[in-house]
Amino acid sequence: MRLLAPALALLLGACSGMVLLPLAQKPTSGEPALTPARPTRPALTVLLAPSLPRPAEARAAIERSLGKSFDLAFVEPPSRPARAPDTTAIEADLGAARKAYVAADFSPCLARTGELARVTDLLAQGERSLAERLLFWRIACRVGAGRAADARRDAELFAVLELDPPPDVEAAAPDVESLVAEAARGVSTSARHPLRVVATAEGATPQAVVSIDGRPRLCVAPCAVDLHAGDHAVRVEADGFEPEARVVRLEEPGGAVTFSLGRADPALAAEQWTARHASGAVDGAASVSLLATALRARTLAVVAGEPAPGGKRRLTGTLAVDGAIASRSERLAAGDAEAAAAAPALVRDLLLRGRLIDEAPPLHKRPVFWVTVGLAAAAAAALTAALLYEPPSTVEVTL
Amino acid sequence: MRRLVLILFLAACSGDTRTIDLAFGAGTRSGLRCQDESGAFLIARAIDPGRILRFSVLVDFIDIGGVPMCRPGDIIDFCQTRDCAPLPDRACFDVEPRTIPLGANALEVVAEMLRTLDGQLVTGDAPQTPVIIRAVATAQSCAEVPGITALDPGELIGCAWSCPVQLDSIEGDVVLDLPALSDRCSTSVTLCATAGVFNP
Repeated sequence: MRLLAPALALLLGACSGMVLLPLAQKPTSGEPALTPARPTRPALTVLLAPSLPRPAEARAAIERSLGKSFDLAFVEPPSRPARAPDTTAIEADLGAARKAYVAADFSPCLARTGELARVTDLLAQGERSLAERLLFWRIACRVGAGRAADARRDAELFAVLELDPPPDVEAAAPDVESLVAEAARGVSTSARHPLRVVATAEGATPQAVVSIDGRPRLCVAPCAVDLHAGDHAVRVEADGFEPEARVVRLEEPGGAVTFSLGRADPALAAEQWTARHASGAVDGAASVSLLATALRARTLAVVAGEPAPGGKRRLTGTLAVDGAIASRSERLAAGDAEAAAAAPALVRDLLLRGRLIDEAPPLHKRPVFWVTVGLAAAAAAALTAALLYEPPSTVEVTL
Repeated sequence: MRRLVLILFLAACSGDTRTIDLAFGAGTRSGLRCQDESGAFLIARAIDPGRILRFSVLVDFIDIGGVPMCRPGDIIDFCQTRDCAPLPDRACFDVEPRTIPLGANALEVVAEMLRTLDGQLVTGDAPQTPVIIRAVATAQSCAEVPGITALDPGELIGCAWSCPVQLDSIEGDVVLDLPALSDRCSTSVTLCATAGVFNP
């Protein structure tokens, strides 16, 4: 009994340890144990790019692996083409003005060409061709109406903006073409001056693209563009921000203009993403940041796939938190099926590197492990004591 | 699991109490049939003129510090180098007096009187050392013999003792008797009662 007791106690201790230890170490299906860094289930938006093979299988695998720790939402990439500016009214006005001009009815011709602001608006919208036609026929109408000074001022603007005469220039009288050509010659001999364009957004410097006078993407702010002195339509655009356009008067020896961009709303971000990234790499940094805004996802994981040499598949993942890239990861899979199965591990990599989850510490570094060991040892000790204890035996003697 | 723990706890905490009965040897072996040198039964010392038999039984334990053989010579040799003294715990029973009817056998009456003591508790917690159990019958009352040294050798009517035993390691009854070669055994009774037989 004295030999059997410690053996039984050790056995019980080991059994209790085996019972308690799994409580300390949650089952992880062979993967490293992970614990969410936050006490409540955080939201995680997952976008599986169309390039990812077997997206349904990948989605199911991710749900199985992370569904208990995260409030998962699977989304599709947005598809929201930007609407082109409605120029129908201007086209109609231009046709009417041209018709009135041909009929030498200059009063409606002047009225239909409208204010000069329409030209700068068109330039700001990037409609340079339409702006050229509108301003040219505005000049023609003024020449026809005998308003030579106004016509000359418009012709100088035409030259400062470095607009080209429209294809239907031959429909106008030769003196109109002469006036435009003369103004162009005059402006071309004048010096150009730098216009420095700076863009800020919430204290940062976004990668803002600068368009001037309807000529797109001249430079990326902060930058300087040499222009003739005069009024210019400057437009600044950046992914994730509202575009801003302004007419800037440039004088000698140059000038600077600063744009302060506001954050784009999800609809605009969706338009920007559709225009710039829908047909390209979905998991690029700019694309993911824009997607996060477009999809209203505070935490967005984008998983994409691409063919790799040897018939393999390379899985790439990008995690954005609050619109900023928090982590990137990639894995190589043997084939399409393996790629879908590897998607959860890739997302885990992203979450680990993005510090949205903590890697569970080794078992021996967890307090609960030592508590469990202590309990098992105490149980073994108690059992040993109980088995080895011999209660006081009393003997009574009777007659 | 909870039930197992409870069983273990109860098993661990519950004590074990065993009962050992003392049995007197028959006839002379209990010393009650012993006669003195004149041939008178010692038991006559406990019968008053009114034929009333009145005696008490004193039971005590002699700590002998080991377990020698049961032969008296072996015990005496064993106790040469040991104290073999009675332990302080002792029990004394005043046996209810009885009148011996005319023509009745006094020894049978004594046997009946001793049976009235059946089941009487000598000790609830027996010594855990090797002991010899001794029972002394005397015409003195328990009140008159507060200690073994108070025994009057002239009032002794019998004595019996057991072999050396370790009470917490034996099972069954323990027999007490008085080894004697004949009925003229008053000297043996005196030696037994005064412990001289063990520690002369």
